[in-house]
Amino acid sequence: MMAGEAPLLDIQHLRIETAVGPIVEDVCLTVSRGEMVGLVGESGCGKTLTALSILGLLPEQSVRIGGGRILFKGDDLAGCDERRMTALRGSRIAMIFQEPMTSLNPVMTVGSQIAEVLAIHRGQRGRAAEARVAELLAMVGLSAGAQMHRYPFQLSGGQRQRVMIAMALACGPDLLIADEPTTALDVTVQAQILELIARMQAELGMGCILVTHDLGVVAEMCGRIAVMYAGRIVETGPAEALFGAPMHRYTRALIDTIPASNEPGRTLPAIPGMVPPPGARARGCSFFDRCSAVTARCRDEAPPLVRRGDHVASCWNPAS
Amino acid sequence: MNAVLSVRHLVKHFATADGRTVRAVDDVSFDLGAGEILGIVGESGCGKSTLARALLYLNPPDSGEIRLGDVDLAQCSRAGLKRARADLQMVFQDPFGSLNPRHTVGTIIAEPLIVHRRPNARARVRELLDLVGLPQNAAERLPHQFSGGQRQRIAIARALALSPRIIVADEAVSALDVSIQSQIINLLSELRAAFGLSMIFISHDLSVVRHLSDRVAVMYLGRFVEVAPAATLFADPRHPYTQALISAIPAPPAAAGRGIAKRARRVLPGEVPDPSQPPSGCRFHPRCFAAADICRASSPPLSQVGQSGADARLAACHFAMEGEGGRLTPSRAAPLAAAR
Repeated sequence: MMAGEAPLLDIQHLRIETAVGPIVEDVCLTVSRGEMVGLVGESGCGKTLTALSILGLLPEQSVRIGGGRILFKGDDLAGCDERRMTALRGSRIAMIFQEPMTSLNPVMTVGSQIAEVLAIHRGQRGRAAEARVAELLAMVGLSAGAQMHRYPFQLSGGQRQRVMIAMALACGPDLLIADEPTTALDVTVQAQILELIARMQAELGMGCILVTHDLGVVAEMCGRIAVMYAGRIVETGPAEALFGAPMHRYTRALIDTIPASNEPGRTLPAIPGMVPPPGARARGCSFFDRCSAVTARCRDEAPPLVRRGDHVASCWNPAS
Repeated sequence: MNAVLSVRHLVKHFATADGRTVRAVDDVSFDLGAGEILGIVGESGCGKSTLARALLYLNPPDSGEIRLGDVDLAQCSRAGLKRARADLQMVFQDPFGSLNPRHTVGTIIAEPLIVHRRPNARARVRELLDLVGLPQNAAERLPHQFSGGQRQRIAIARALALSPRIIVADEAVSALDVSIQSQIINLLSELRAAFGLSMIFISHDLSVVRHLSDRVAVMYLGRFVEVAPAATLFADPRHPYTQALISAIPAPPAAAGRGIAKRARRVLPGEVPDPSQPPSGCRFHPRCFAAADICRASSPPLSQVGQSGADARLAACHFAMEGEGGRLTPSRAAPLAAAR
């Protein structure tokens, strides 16, 4: 980011409400052009809802933005009407979902699904559209001639994810949100798709948010990482600092607990208990009852922000 | 090795609707030692779950032999098979789908005890709840009142009810979150240590398999392509597929902290081929970075590489013995064009 230039996406104090209480609270996150930011956390931490809120895709009436701003190129998307959102979605901001089989239309050929994006956002039809579809398919490593006229069920999981990526990139978005893009894929295919996303991001200079539960994947892909727990970002910083010297006790515990960080056969340093459901979260730090370094004030008093340059955590008793 | 389970030339094929044959498990042989954890890794469609179900005769194999101690499962009557299954229990991936939502946890865990007419089912249920770290009052509650990790504890308690010698765990921790996954991995290792259980631990997650297993078998298109002690397999994989699988695992996050970013990885071209039309010769050759003419023509048998004995390793590759450390390098054989 150039000095003084506003970030591409600037989420400020985002709050997402449900009937049982807030499910995402006080989330602040910025993404610059050409930057890949990792949003990691376990199921139910609010990472997917945060991602969906950027696109105005929160699931139901009962789940809604309850506060904060989502500034995209300076415009607030949080209060944005559906018509404007529709113009941005799929054009300036695009998303790749986890399960390509359920996110693609089963009764449309791959080519016509990609062409649909071009028709809606660019008014491109006919020959020109077809040429662009072929170009997009080639870009994501599919052969245009063979794959264009096939249906999603005729493709493998990896190929379907390539189609999703081609659709997402069709209009050259400024911001790409990838929600667990490789979770449903096998390891060897995951490696292919991650490589493709990294290459596309670098070539097109997009800002990118990679939402995942896999610490290894973000460590490899992202320059900056935000860790979510129970609806809040508990720690954020450059990958090297965050993984090298995590400050929040949850980040530390999460890194330590995975088998890859441990000698084979040893007892894993497990994190006891489980994530509290929304509505049952502590007033202070929601991790207090699972934390090995809990202090007297952790449960009831909101933890302060500990800053070390651009590495920030909210913790009463940081690990480093 | 004192094998508690001995499998020879196991074959399980399925017919597809359009008359083709899917060779899901195609000539698999192995022994499982007492107290041993054998990890089986492979990608979707490699046949690992079919193998698990065939071992328990949930899907009876087409041919081959499964010996549980002295018992040949193929020769068993229905009653004999039921007796054998008391020794061979399974934990499934999905702790939502594998527990009856209308039964209390107590009923679920007691069911095998009642089916097998074991006495004192109630007391045993209490013991099992303790063993897997669930509170006693769990017995009166329904599965939906529990989290994924707790449900997997229930499934493990049920599998342990009859004090089996062998547990077959099919992706038993794959659906769980990281922090819960390590709790269940620890539980499985504690149970093994406490009861001398043998285990077949099937997973697509190599780091979990490496952590838990004594020995690992790598499966590709219905066959074992490499079998070796876990430490050896990860330190010095001999089959190119194993090498690619290992290199595809993202580095542990701590590596990023040490500034070791983005290492060179071996990205395999293409995907696992249709198991109803396996490639000629070595089934891996179209994706292999070291394939030569012989690989297209003849299928390499799973054979011993290096020393014999308890630590013997097996690989099904024409070039498994080659080079320094036996490691194949793409430079020594012309890489095939990327097949997509």
